[in-house]
This record gives sequence, structure tokens and C-alpha cells, in this order.
Amino acid sequence: MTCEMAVMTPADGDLKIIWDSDKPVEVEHARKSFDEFKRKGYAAYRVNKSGDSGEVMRSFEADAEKVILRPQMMGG
Amino acid sequence: MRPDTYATWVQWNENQTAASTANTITNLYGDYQTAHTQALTAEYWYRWVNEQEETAEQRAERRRVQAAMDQRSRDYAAARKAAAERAEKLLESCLTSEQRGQLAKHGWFTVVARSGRVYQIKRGRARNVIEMRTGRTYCCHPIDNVPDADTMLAQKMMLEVEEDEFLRMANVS
Repeated sequence: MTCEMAVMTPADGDLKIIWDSDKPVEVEHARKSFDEFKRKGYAAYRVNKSGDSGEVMRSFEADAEKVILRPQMMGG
Repeated sequence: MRPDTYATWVQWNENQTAASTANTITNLYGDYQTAHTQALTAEYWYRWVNEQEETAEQRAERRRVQAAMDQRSRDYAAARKAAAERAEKLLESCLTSEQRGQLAKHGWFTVVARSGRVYQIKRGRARNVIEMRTGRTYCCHPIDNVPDADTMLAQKMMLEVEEDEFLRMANVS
């Protein structure tokens, strides 16, 4: 199954990381990217393909069809 | 006044003595001392620089530096525009057809949190979230300078999934 991670970054707006959940090498690459962004303070949500019904994703899930990562937030 | 600013001023005066009277210099310096803001210092400095004759090499170097700076500005603007377009597509991919319609028509869309509260998210980055029942405005946005569409999606995700955390972090007015 093809899965994707959409990362909100200043440079890209939407940095896409796409992996095939049946290919361990791609899964590992996606996992490393996920962990790297989490270390930077990003929060992750697992959503359905239409982008709603989200839930917080604490750790990487290889079969997550669509993941959205947002930067750390602050009160303005 | 910073010593180097003063030294520059003295140097400038020495270079101008052939064309200026001491009285004029005194008056100019008096004016300068009266209002030696950074902006004014910069104004005098650039005026002085512009009055100097450039050599062909200096002019070529100035134009080369200016061209490089202009190119960097254009590259940055193009990259920001591309990022904004990608962010816009990502946001739209996460909205319902009704929300997309609201955004296109009004520049905002509404989100229903799990608490049942309804929030309006307007285009923008700060003070752009309004709770519909109370009219309170909330300000909570990404630390990073992401495109506005990313900010709006981040706010939507928080309100839908982590409303309490959003309300805890946000400034309210």
C-alpha cells in the first residue's frame, strides 16, 4: 500500500515523503524521517485520505495511509 | 555616538573642506548631533557615498553585488510562492467540499471540535481563529514561518484532535 507523509516546512510548504508499506527499505526511510521531525518538535496526525478523522500519532506507523506533520505551535 | 561613526564624520568633513566653509561644516555637524539617529547617520553616509566618483572597477563590482542580491531575492520569492502553492493544495486536500467552498467564497472555513464548539479559521497566521458562539479570538500558530495555508491546517488539526491543547496555548482576546 502506498502511504504518504505531508510535512509543513517553511521551505516547502508541503514536503511529501511517500513509501510503500510492503517495502522494508522504504518503510525504514520513512520511519527515520518521521523520527527526525518529531525530534524537531513536530506533531503528527494520522488522517484518512480525505484529511479528516485525525488522531494524534505518537510513533511511526508503517501502514498509516496519510500522515500530516505540523511544526511546534505557540500562542501569538 | 559610536566612535567609528564619529571618525567617519570627521573623515567626511576633511574630504569636503575644499568645497565647504568651516561655518557650514559646523552647522551641519550641529544638525547631525541634534538628531543623530541611526536612520539619519545612514542617510548622510549614503549621500556621501553617492557623491563620490566610482571607478569603472568599483561600478562593475557594485553592479555585480547588486545583481547577485537581486537574484537571491527573486529566488527566495519564487521558492516562497511555490511553497505557498503546495501548502494551499495540502490544505484543500484536507477540507470537505463545504469547507473548500467557504474558503473560496469567504476566505475562511469552519471546524467542529469534538467538544461541539464551532470555530472559524480565517486566512492568515495570527488572531485568525474565532469561536463562533462566544466571538472570542484565539491566536496560536506555528513557531516556524510556514505559509498561511499550513498555519490554517495546523490550527484545524489541533482544533479537531487536540482542542484542549490549542486552548491552553492560545492567547485569547
